[in-house]
Amino acid sequence: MLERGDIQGLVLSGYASSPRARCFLIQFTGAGAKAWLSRVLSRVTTGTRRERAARVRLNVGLSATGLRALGLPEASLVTFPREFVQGMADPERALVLGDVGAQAPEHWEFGGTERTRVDAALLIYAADDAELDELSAELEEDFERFGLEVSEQDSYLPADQHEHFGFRDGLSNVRLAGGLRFRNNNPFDLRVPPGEFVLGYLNAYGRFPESPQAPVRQGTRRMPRLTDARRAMDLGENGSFLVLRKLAQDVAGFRGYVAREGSQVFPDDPRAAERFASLLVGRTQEGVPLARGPELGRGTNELNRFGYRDGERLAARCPLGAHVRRANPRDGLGDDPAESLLHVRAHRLIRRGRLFGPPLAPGAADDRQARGILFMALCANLRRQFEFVQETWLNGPKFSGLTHERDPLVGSGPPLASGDGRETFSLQGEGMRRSCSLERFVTMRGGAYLFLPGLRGLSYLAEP
Amino acid sequence: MPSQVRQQALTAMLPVRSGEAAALDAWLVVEAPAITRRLAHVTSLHFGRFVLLPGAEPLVALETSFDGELEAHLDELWAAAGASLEPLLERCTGWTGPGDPGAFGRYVRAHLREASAFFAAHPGLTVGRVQADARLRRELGRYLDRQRALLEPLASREIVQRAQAALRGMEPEARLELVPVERAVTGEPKSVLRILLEHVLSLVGTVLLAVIYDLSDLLRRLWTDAEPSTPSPELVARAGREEAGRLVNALTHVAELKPGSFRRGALRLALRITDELARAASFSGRLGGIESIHFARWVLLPDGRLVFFSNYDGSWESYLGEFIERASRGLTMIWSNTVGFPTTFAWVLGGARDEAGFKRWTRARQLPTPLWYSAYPELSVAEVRRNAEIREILARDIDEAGARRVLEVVRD
Repeated sequence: MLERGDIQGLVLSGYASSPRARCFLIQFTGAGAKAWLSRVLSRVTTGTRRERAARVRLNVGLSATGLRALGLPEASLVTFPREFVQGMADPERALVLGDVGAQAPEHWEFGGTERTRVDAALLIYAADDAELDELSAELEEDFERFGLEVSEQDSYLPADQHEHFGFRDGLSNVRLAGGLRFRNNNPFDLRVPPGEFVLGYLNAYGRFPESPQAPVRQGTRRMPRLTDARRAMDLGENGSFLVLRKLAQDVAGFRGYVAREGSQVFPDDPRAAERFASLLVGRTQEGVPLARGPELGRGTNELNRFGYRDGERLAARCPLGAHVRRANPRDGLGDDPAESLLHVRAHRLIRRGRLFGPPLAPGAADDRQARGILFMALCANLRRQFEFVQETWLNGPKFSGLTHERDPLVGSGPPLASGDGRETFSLQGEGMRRSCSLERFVTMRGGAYLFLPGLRGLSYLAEP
Repeated sequence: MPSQVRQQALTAMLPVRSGEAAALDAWLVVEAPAITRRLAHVTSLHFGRFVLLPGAEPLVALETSFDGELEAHLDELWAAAGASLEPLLERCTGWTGPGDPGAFGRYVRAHLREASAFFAAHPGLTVGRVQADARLRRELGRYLDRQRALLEPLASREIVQRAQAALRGMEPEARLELVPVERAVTGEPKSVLRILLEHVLSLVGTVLLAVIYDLSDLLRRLWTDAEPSTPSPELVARAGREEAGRLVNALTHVAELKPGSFRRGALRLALRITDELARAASFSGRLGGIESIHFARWVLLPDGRLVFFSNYDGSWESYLGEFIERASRGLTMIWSNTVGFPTTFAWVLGGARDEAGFKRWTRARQLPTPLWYSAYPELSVAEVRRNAEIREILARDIDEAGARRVLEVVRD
């Protein structure tokens, strides 16, 4: 059983009833970090049913530099995963993630350089802007009092659940095993053991995830449990890793591109742009998976109940490199569907992303407003889950028998020699494949790897 | 194009003069770009590396996967890179200088080590063939793109026939040589079951004994504080920098045999079975169900060190993941006989299934491989095999099935 009262609420809930969100990106500049964390601690929303139902929610994540600033000794920091300690902007991580060229850390708004480093992220959620501002005002007093450098990024859940390019989002979010009971058992989307997202529980390989440790100390609040060897405290228990990435979307550019390219692919169809965009995504704007076709029901569960193998003809409707296929290949990898599903289960993410910037009305001219997705994903193993999905599936040129393509929406990386210097996206089907030219409309604007400790872990870190 | 050419493994362990190891390591890092450029001229070379194996008596491993006969390969290596390799050879004992043309070949041959198990995923395909097949595939894709409007209404067979005619027309410049070709691999692969049955007595015996030995290992770990496999941060950082962003990668890994004759015997048996499995797996290109290894080999040194060399597709993380998910038993059978491997039971169980422990153990014993060469660093195993298939179909009269297959295989 999950220790819900010690797990931060965001891990277990997307806070759908609090559509407004604000992310404070914090730099610990003075000596007040611990005192500030200790103040925030009492407000942190946990994963208990009662707290998750509150209208105002608050969670806190810390980066490696933040942990260091909070006085965590180096001996403890090295027990954190290497990727986390390096940080998202490390040159090696940037290569792995494809954050190169125009997407490289030196161009980011935050998290890319020492000057814009992120020590902590304070995430707050409320039902409306008034509540959000009220809570912000209280929090901002503390920022000043404890001498923290803070910038903020607002985001929201769109009422119609459609992201800026016009597609229904968040349909295939992970279902945790062992927690809530689901009546529908989806054979194409296996339940994932909680240890894939929360440290201290069994993971997809039937093991306990590696968990960071800290020296034993006494405190006024409840401290983390001792590790098996009883020489250290299990700082990781009930914690989770949070990937934060601000991805800007050029909506007008995207619409222009799908109209141009779509009219080439479907010359006589008035809905050519929309049809072509669906091929890039792998779902229609309403979320109907191309792999299954329109006969599917419209409920969220139904829209997630499909694989890529129900007969070759049907599977061919969805391009091999379509975004949703790369992000979650389901039963479609290799020869054995069951093996594929098990493999995929070890590379899932809980997504908690929200939109920023106002939507661009259909047909409207480019208003030059910043908009996009504030992508957030939770996992227990950054390397095996988030980075793997990014590197091997989304950015992997060899995904599913392809040779020189990356994800048509979010793919990025160095130019591929075999690709003749231009990027392509290919449509398979009966007869000849069609190679379309691909342009990019998503830009990485900032990001960080954060750790969301359990409540006892936070108490440990806040202890003076 | 006769292609009855054998792919072989060259592994030579050159002894390093005392006190020269550090200098040699630094030299490998600095000279890697220049030497790999020269290696591109070695037409028989698929993959190759020079790796420093540190220790009381340090060695430089020269490891290549090559086409044809050893002698010719060594001559080619020397002709292409010889002069630039002299600073390395001068740091090795017994090297007397390039007094005569055959000196390099003789020196390397004097230090050869047989691979105990060797796997090749695309046997019979020479380097030239692999590269030409990739060009053919690219030209085919370009042709389909250019002639889209014309071809799209046609039936599969006619599309591919026209492509065939067009490609024949451009042969001379593209060196496509669309003539019938055969791969060297002939006959039927042995089934896994048959291989295991042939060794059934020794397997059963080893498993039974292993239960006892594993138990005693387990007890020893409980008594004494087990040697934790903590990789050195510097080495992990070096490996991480080498691997990041590559589509094809190299792993060099050294494990030490556990003491006692049981473990040595068990390892020998494991490697013999693995070698037979690897031969059979060459037909499908999948070793233990993993379709991302171009070449791999295990080499057991007399001092009990077991060196693993492999050339694989994608990231280390995805490679190790496949080890854990698909090949854990086979790998545990081999590496459970070496020091520090995660706890195993009955020789083949546990071990590599311990994800975190196995990854940590592998990293801790991995060696930096700064001087590594691939003749086709952007081609995956699956791609090499599919490209070859395209040529084989295009070289003959096109039938309906062949045409469909070609169009299915050209996916992007």
